[in-house]
Amino acid sequence: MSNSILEMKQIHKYFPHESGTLHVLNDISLHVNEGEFVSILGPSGSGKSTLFHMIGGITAPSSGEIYIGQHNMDGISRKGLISYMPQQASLFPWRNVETNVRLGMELNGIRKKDAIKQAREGLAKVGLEQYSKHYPHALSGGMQQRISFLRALLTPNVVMCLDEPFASLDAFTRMDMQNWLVQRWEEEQKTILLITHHIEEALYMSDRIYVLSDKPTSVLATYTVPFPRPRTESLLATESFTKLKFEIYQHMKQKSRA
Amino acid sequence: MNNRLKALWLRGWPAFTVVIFLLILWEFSSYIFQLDAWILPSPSMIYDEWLLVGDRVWEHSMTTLKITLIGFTLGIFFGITTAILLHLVPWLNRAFFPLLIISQNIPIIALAPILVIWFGYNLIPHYILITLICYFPITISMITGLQQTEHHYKHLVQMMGASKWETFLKLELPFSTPYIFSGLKISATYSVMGAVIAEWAAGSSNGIAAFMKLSLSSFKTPRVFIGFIVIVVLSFTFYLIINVLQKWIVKWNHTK
Ligand SMILES: Nc1ncnc2c1ncn2[C@@H]1O[C@H](COP(=O)(O)OP(=O)(O)OP(=O)(O)O)[C@@H](O)[C@H]1O
Ligand SMILES: [Mg+2]
Repeated sequence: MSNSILEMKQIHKYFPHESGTLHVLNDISLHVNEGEFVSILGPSGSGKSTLFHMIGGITAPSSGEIYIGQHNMDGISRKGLISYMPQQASLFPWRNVETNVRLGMELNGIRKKDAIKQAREGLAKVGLEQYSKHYPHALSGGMQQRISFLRALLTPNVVMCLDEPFASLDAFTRMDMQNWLVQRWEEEQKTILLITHHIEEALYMSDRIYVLSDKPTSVLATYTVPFPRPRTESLLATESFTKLKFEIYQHMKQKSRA
Repeated sequence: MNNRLKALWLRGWPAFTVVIFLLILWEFSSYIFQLDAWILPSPSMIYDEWLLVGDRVWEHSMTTLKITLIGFTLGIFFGITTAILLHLVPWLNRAFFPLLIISQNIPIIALAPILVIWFGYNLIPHYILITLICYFPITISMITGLQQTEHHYKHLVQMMGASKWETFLKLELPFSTPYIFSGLKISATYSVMGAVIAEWAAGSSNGIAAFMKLSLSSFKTPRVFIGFIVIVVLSFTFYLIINVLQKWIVKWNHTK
């Protein structure tokens, strides 16, 4: 706990609603250690994106505290301490691939020369260097997501928050991207918090998993993923993997019925 | 180049054909109905008149073009400045935006004589009028563009650490450029008309309106038609230039 880089303490969130208030988050506490890969699994509408907006400092919790390192993210005094990959790729249409990738570095005072260098290296690594002068609309969805990911990766902030990054991809591309993401994470020694609907995806990639309930949302369970790294696709077919997957599935199902 | 001309022709030939057809119809009906030139001159009469007074018309047109350009530039400048200020300073927006919308309803034509009373028979009323005409469309469309910047983009830059100013510079301003251009096109089209109204009201001795007024008072109707053509050509050229600039600067499009 002592080396946790992100900490959320007893977070509640209410939104105004036509019939009074909507209680979205109900006493959420979670933490992410430095260098850890943590996933959040939760049903649609449970408030996962809201959680990210709070971590990013653009939404204030109704009560509770959020710390990134020493900084209290109360939604007022300070925003923008994370690297963020939103659910939609959200590339700027007026920037080409390379300048899109540089955005996060620009916003955080990296010298232009270094930013250009890092962006080119990054694009080469993801095999998109020949597209660096292209505009986003000319690229496939998968390419756009890789660029959006690279933009987040090169943003020199401590925590990377990825909001359902692979939701719109086909199974093959998805697997590819998952492997690639884990590989980057290992190489760059980043800290990652990932939102997903997919139990399998969370199990395959993370160190730990938080399972959330339906609204008003609380933490149903925390799992520490036991599989050693490096993990390969064959892991998906092992009995222990399937068993754990089913266990989490059962857990989520029962609670949402109760 | 050849290919481009071909593409232009493929797109433009229906409109072109219609114009030619109307001109022919006009020419023939003038012969058939034997209308006097001062009531409705035929295209060939207008052309003959152009051969006579072309040089003078050119000079008058350049005078009008000059004041139009100056007014247009001022309109762009004040329009963009207003939009940025109202966007970045919320209380300014609350205080002035309603006024801006309401003041759009003032008929600018009716304003022209008042401006002449205030500032006299000189170029100042001209500039003010053209500037006003260009100002509103640019201001309104740019504010709209700035305010409509999509939320997911805003969330993204703010969560990654953008200040308000950076959000404006790197996101809202580029996002609003297509909107600015649609404002510019409206302004460009109306600016020449604004210049003509100003010249007309101020009783200028130079400019295309002065030429038309003089021609009208001596029943030289073909010359008035030459004036129409000049106004149309100027407005349309203006519009085309803005259009080319837009294609050149705005290479993307929001609707994907
Ligand atoms: N600004 C807001 N005002 C009012 N209600 C909101 C606001 N933002 C989110 N909500 C509500 O809070 C709930 C959680 O929204 P959120 O987008 O965080 O869910 P999510 O877990 O990310 O869902 P999904 O998995 O579908 O992306 C929803 O019911 C939503 O309608
Ligand atoms: Mg969401």
